[in-house]
Amino acid sequence: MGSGFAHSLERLRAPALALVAALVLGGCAASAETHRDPNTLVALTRTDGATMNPMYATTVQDGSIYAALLFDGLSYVGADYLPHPRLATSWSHSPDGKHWTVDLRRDIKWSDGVPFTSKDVVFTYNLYLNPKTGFLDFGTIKNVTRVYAEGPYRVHFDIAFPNAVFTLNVLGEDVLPEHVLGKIPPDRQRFSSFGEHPIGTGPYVLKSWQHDSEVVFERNPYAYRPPKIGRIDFRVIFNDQAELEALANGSADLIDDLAHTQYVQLQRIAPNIKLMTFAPLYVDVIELNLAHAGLSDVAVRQAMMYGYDRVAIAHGLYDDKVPVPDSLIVASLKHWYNPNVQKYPYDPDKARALLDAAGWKVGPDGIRSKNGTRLSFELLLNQGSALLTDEMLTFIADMRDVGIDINLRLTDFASLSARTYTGKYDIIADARGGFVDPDLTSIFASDQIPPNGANTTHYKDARVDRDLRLGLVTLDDAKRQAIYDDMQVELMKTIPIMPQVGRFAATAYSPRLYFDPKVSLQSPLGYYNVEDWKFVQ
Amino acid sequence: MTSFIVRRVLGAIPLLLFISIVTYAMMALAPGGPAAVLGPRGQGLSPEAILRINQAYGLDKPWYVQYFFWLKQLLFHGSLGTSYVDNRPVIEKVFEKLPVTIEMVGLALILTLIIAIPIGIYAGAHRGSFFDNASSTIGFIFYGMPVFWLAIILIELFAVEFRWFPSSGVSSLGRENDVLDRLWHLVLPVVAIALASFVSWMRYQRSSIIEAMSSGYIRTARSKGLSERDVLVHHAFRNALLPIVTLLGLSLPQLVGGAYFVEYVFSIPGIGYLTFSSIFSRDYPTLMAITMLTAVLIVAGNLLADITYAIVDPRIRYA
Repeated sequence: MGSGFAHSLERLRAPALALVAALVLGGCAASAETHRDPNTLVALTRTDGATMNPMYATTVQDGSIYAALLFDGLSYVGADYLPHPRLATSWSHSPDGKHWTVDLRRDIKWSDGVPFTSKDVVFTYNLYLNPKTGFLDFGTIKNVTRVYAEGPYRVHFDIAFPNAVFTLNVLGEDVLPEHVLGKIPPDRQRFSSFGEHPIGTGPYVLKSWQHDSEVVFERNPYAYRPPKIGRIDFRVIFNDQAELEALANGSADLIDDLAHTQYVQLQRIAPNIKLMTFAPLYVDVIELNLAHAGLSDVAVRQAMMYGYDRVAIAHGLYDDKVPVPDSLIVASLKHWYNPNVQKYPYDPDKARALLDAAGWKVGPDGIRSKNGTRLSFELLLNQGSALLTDEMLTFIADMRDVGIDINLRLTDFASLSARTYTGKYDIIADARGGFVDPDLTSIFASDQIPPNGANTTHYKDARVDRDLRLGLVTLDDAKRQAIYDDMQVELMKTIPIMPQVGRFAATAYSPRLYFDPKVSLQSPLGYYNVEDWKFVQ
Repeated sequence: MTSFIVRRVLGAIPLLLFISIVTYAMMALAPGGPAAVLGPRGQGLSPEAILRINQAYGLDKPWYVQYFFWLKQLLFHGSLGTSYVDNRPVIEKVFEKLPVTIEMVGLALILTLIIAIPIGIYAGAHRGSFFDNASSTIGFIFYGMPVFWLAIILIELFAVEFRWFPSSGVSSLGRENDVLDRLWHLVLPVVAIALASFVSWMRYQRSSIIEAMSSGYIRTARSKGLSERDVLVHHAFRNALLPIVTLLGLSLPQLVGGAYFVEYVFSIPGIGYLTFSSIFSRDYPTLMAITMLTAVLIVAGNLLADITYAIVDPRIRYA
């Protein structure tokens, strides 16, 4: 019996081996052969976003990239980080800065062929300003008190107080079609099908969307800035290795958000692939809850800066391909960056001396304390970030060396966010940036402590409050520059947020693609000139 | 039989209600709600705007009131609600992900049976032999390994080191309709699931064979002079397969619930992936839909197992 059964198994072995061989060989062939439309740009992404409706988009993929393909604002931010007219032709303001007049282009149609007029602009801003809409950028435009049209191609804005970032932020919001969304009540906008079937004025239209798999855009037949590349196909790939293989074997043209490990690996396995690094717009930061007894002492915060070897992070984890910033305003914003601030070179002896002078005495366990308060903190970190975790392990070791105890706790983003906004945290590792103007009111103004805003460190500084207030209402650029120079000096002296290293920003792309992005494609302005991209082979 | 089925279905209703209440309460009491995951863009929101968002989804009310509305929507409108993430009907999202999960877990189940049944039969027929002990030991080693760890080892070996199979996804770019390419992508996840689960099926089959081989009809067959192979294949095997057939009903929920960790490790966009992303984004309606679908299938699977048992074994009768 046994031999008969074994014989049956034996008979099955040959076909089984043949099947495995067919899969391996067939699969290898599959990986080598790709059938590509030569006029389609295949871009790889980790997420396909949640909505094409710019009012409710929350990720870079849908809020910045898709929005840049599908929609336009009255202004856009160019590679010089300054606002330029897009749907507008020009703008001007009254002497008191509280009234703006915007003239519109006359040659624009929506992607369904309906002409674009001032009605669309008035409708859009009124929709954004209606609290029932739940517009996510409401905080940016809330000082607009009235929007009205003067004929089909001129719009007027009244604002509560002069706003230096009006053309950048307010006019930069995407304009939506009144003839499509006007029939939907504001509180139902969120649930409309516009998020799946958008109509815009941008260079592309949405062709198809298979969730978590593929998003295809085609040239907008009515585009007033027609793109050279006919189709962009975003493919969702969750895995670093699979992304590299697809780019290396020619199945894909672009990875716009390259991790540093991928960058190093690509140099080795696919030297023909082009690589581009960018001056970062984001900074990895350590946010300190100043409501905590130990962290409220500025000497402790300064000591933490001196005691943290940030250069070692930039060198060890990023091969010196990221800067070690002196300010939260990144150096690439040349117009606003102030290098003349207090510097914090790695100096653990100075850190110890600062803590000693402030009365923080080392205990038997090596941890400092004063009046019953120990310098022992919990560090919260989003569990999805491996590199940030590595950075934090170095930080923890460095802090221990100067007598500060830090315990790392990984958590998911929702819990992290909830604890941040309810003040139930000591220290958080995060990234800040993406802005091109130094107005950091929502992060540092004392009236923006949650639930009123995003001042999650509970920072209160009269000098910074004054600078933020003045900076926002000063329309003269030179005067604004002086104001924000002062703000940076004070911020780097008081350290509510510790800048660590600039966030690595790189793009990998096929040699057949020609483009000149100048700024990271993962920044809010990355796809601003997508219509100029082209294939050269 | 009909009254048995009706009683079982009616008896499942309070159970499903209990599951739905517990699941909803656990989700709603977890730290951070849907408004907490709006990301950097939501940081400038005024308290009023956040309140509006919460009102739009009914999140401004206590969890038990939210649950009541969810239940009312389900019972009176047949709707499982709208996703907080993309405002799409959750049923659409779930059915979008089902095919790939069913495909993967279905293939894994087939492979598991192909491995487990012959080994179980051979081990049962050679009880106490080296093969019997070795197959059980190896099986339990795989069974004891966390499946995500097993999956990572398979990736390291066969995707990274030997580069025989892809490490993620279900198809190559541009070859989405190529069956061979799809199978090639599914080899490692399917093998991971099969290795982790074959031992339980193998042990069932082994026990069935041992029980069958000690039955009176086997002694009769032997006394008629049949060869040991004929006894095993034509008499013991068929009868020993009955418990396995009924157990297939119990694997129904797994077909939909998927192998969460395997999908996550291999980046397969199925139900497991949707579950994880819904947890992280606090998408309560989607999570409720997946949980309830799985619960219904567990109940249905048990019922199906009982019915199948009655059909294949004439000795079983349900009053």
